Amino acid sequence: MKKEILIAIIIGFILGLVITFGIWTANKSLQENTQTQTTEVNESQPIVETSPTEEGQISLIISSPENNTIVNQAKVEISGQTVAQATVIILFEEGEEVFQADEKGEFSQEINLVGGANEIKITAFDAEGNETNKTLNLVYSSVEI
Amino acid sequence: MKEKFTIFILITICFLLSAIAVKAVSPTPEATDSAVQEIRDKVKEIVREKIEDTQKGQKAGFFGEISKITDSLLTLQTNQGDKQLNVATDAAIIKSGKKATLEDLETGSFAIGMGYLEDDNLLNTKRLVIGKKTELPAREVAFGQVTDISSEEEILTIKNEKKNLIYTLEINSKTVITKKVDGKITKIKFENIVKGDKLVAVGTPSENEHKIITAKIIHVIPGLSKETSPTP
Repeated sequence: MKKEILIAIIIGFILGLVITFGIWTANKSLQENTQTQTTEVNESQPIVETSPTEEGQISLIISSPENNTIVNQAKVEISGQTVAQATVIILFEEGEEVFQADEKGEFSQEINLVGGANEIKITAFDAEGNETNKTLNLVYSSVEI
Repeated sequence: MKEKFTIFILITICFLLSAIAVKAVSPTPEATDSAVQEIRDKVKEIVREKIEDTQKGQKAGFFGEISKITDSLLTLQTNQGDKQLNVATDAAIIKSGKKATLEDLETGSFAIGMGYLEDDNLLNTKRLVIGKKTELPAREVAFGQVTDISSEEEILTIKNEKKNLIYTLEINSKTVITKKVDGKITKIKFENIVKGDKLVAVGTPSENEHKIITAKIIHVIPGLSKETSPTP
């Protein structure tokens, strides 16, 4: 009788361990899956628009705001990147701005929008006179859609 | 029979006890690692946002001239190619400041569509405004190196080597002349411009044998002055 009890305890203990190990393994693999998904999501987020440069052209990337954006404020900051120290010209409905990009080629300039359609022309020149043009369409409307 | 029953009960009890004991001892991710839970929540939130974005589309606005009307589908001729507006049944249509219907729309009118992108060229339009297009004032942007200066008339001649174009820049009292000095854009005078300076000018064009521009802004590019030697 004692022998049978001892065997029962050992078998029960081993079975318990096996089941628990199974649960632990399942939890671990679920955790790894979650981490992989997070990495995938993070990797898919930075979508940087690159502008191919042709001969006689320089790079010009408008990082903000996106083309065809609906803006609900009259003032908007145009920011982007071009070549270092490039001269940047922004032509908009109500005026124009001429300034220079910094040492990294980054620039940021606030402009005023008119109500409705805004066609903004952005030109960048390097010191040699190579140029690139971009057109940014923005809609200024304070109405919620 | 009694012995077998006892063994069965014991096996079950032992199994449950050991399973509970090991489960209690083993660290659960929720209890021990709050960072994992945070990541899970973040992933859930991102997935939810992505699903919402996919269902609703990204908010956007297109503007241009209506070139085609087919039921509730409008084709707009924009400066970035043809775009299509799918005008929703609950869309607000405004024409010259008043409420209108799809029947009031005409080809050739200037329209601004606002709504949610279904794809790059198709907008699920929730608001459509018909009105007049505000024309950009005619402006010319010129880059070049100063080849001649007329101080009396305040006229600059610049040459763009890349385009092989010569521009004549007329300066008046409203012209703003700038140069980056010590990292700051500083106003300078016409007299400070010398031959060989490279500059960018923005102004009103008037076509002639050369390009003549009434300059509104002249920006001298610093450190690039190189006096051009006269051609023998």
